[in-house]
Amino acid sequence: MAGFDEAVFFATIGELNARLLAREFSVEELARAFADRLEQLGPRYNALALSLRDSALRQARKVDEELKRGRRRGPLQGIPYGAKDLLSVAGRPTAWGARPFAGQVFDYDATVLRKLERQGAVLIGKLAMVELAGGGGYRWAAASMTGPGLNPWDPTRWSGGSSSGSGAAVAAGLVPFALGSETWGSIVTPAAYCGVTGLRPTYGLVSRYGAMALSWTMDKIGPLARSAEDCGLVLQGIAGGDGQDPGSAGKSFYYAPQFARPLKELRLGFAPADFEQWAEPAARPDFAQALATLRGLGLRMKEVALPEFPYGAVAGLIIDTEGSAVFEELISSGKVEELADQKQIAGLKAGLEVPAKDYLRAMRIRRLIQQELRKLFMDVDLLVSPARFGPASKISEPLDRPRSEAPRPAQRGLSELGAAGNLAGLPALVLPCGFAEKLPIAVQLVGRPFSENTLLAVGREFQRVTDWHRRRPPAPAGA
Amino acid sequence: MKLTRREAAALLSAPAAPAPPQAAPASAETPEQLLAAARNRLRRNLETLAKIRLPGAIEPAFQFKAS
Repeated sequence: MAGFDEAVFFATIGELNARLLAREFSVEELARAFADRLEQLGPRYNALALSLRDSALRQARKVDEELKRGRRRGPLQGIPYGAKDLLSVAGRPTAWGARPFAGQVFDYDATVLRKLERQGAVLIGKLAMVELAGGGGYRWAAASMTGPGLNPWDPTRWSGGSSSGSGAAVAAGLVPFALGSETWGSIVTPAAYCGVTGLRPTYGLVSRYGAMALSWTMDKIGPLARSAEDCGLVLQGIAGGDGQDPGSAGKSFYYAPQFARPLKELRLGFAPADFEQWAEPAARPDFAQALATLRGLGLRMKEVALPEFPYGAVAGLIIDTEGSAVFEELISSGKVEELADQKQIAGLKAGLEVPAKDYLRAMRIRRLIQQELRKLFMDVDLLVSPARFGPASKISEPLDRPRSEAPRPAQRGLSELGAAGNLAGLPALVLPCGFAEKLPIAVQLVGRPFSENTLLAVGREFQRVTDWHRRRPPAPAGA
Repeated sequence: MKLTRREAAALLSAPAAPAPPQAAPASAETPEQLLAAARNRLRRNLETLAKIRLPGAIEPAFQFKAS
């Protein structure tokens, strides 16, 4: 990329913002360089849904003018970024990763995109995703109109889903940060598989207006970025009440790590079984080191286990039922058959048949889960577990089969923290913590509702003493 | 075919062709079998949920509050 050192593409928001303010390069030059890179390399990872080069360069020139006039809008001013293709951009295609919606165009911008534009961030592209964010349940990584998300660390591996392009684009240095969404695992998984930092905010903290719905009661939008610090800056930019989102909590978020409680006061819950039995053998050494690092930061470690509930069954039923209701017209019209993944088609159809009483039963159990998790968080301030128990799966392997012949560990530990955390609307921060089979692995920190600043403070300290989040995948041939 | 140095340089600097999107493998099961499997999965989930005792006062969860 002419004029730009490779390091620029892997710089943090703070570093880029400082260089923009120092006039080392203009916002337009930066946006152009990232747009070039996204267009050139994005397709190699099946990460790009739509380049927005022209509108990005217009926005970049506007921001350059503002900077010349001395108008400062904050740390995101002039920073290019990408957004998962479930967020609508007025007048441009928003396909939700699904062939039946190719060419779909809305006449309004998603709230999160408007917020970022007001702060001077520059949207350079829409990023690929699993079709319909995985609604109905998919078997193959190729469940997307753009093909399987390929992992920049090894393109024979999956970049994770459903925010596949968001994870790959940040990891490969195609954007400094990206927006993704999570209903159950869709930020956590691509962040972990691609070795980037991801933040799933508390349900209701970030507006979903203008985003595809999969599950009205579980959808969240959040950032994937280079560091916990960057996730905090982006969350600050996108959080806030929105009357157009019925799920909005009406709360703002100010990234203020300086006011976080000292780490020595924080109690960190963990389950040894997660790290010693559930984790795949190749990942255990680095997971153990991550735990040791957290302990070394002064956190008070406490062994815990999740209360006994069938978290996966509850989450699955709620998402299946709500997702099929969202896409009822797609299913009844027969256009659902155009989806790429046959299992997903069947899952969406079956979800329409769930009786109301059973959906309500799941939602009532969910209430119990929230109550019991609240009690758990009286004993600890946050929880830690592997974000995924092993590295990214192979593109060629079905996702719905066990990866190991080994029997399931007897102790549950926090192995269902993903389902539990999403059911209770809890925030999660994904921190890269090492490698297994030459692929990234990560831990997740989960906290009480609206405790993002605590998670970010711990994440920031973890990343102060480790450099896993700074590692870069090999440059692709010809780049 | 003989290339000029300029043509060779252009070829070398050209981006590699994007990886062709890989389609999801065709399922060995028929659509009817897949639908039956999806229904079975839901039924198993429902059976699991039915085992949990629910006091009448427990309302469905929709709201989340900071604690």
